[in-house]
Amino acid sequence: MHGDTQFEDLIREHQGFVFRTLVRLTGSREHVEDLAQEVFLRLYRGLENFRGDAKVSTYLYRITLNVAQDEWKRCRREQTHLSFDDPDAGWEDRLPNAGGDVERTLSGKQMMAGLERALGELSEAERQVIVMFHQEELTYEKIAEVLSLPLNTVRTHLHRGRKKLKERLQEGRRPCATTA
Amino acid sequence: MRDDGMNCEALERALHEGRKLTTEELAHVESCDECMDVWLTLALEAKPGVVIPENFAARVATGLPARQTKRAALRSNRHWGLITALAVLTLLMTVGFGGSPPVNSWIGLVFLSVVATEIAGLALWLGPRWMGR
Repeated sequence: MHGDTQFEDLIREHQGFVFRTLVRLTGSREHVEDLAQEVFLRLYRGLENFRGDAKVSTYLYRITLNVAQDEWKRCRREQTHLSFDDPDAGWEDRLPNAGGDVERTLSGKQMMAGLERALGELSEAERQVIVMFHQEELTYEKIAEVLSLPLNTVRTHLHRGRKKLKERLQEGRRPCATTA
Repeated sequence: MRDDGMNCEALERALHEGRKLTTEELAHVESCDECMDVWLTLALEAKPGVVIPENFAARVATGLPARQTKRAALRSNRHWGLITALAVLTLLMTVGFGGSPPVNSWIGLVFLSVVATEIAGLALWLGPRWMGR
């Protein structure tokens, strides 16, 4: 269906989305390149039977979520500690409250690490909806199409997911019970 | 304005403007529902900084031709399968309707017609699908 040059262009166009989504959904940067390669290989194989009744991007989003889900399950199975506090992760540095004096930076980073942990504790669907809506700025309609879910379910996942994140971030702040 | 003396509107503005927050401001964000909402949205909207190798697309694309060749070989095998099916069909028709004694009976003709129709049907049904791939 596609020539190699066309497919290469397709990869260039979507690689940012694929890498970012994999990092956010798996909570790790360790194998992200291999996973991204897997996504595009699955896409290529799938394009042979692609009938064009959906957009290629929708198909790619689905594959990316599936690959991230497989990796997430594999990590859980192996009980690997996911690197939510990965010191190489640099995305918290891009946040408004990062930088500045050490205490401030530490505090901001702690909040970000807490958010990453909280994201990891959400259900698969909640995490996927939150990442697609906030990070990738997809519409409710598009998310519903990608996940094959009714529109209202997407809204519910987003609402519940955000609520849980807030609760967990605020719980994390509560002082631990001190023993006498 | 809250008990801790923080002005939520000012703090939300600071968050949107990207100003660095003090420890006290961050503590307020964690305890205030409205400010936490704003912080959460901004944190989730921040795209993770990922480094994509410069030649990633080219590298993935160059891994594809081998599979294409394999697919072409498969298609070629299927093409030969179709030709064989048509050859068998022609042979059956020639033998069946050509008048050779063992097959040229009433039962033999009906049997042969059924087989020939089935093969022809299969060839017509599968042919365009295989050739079109």
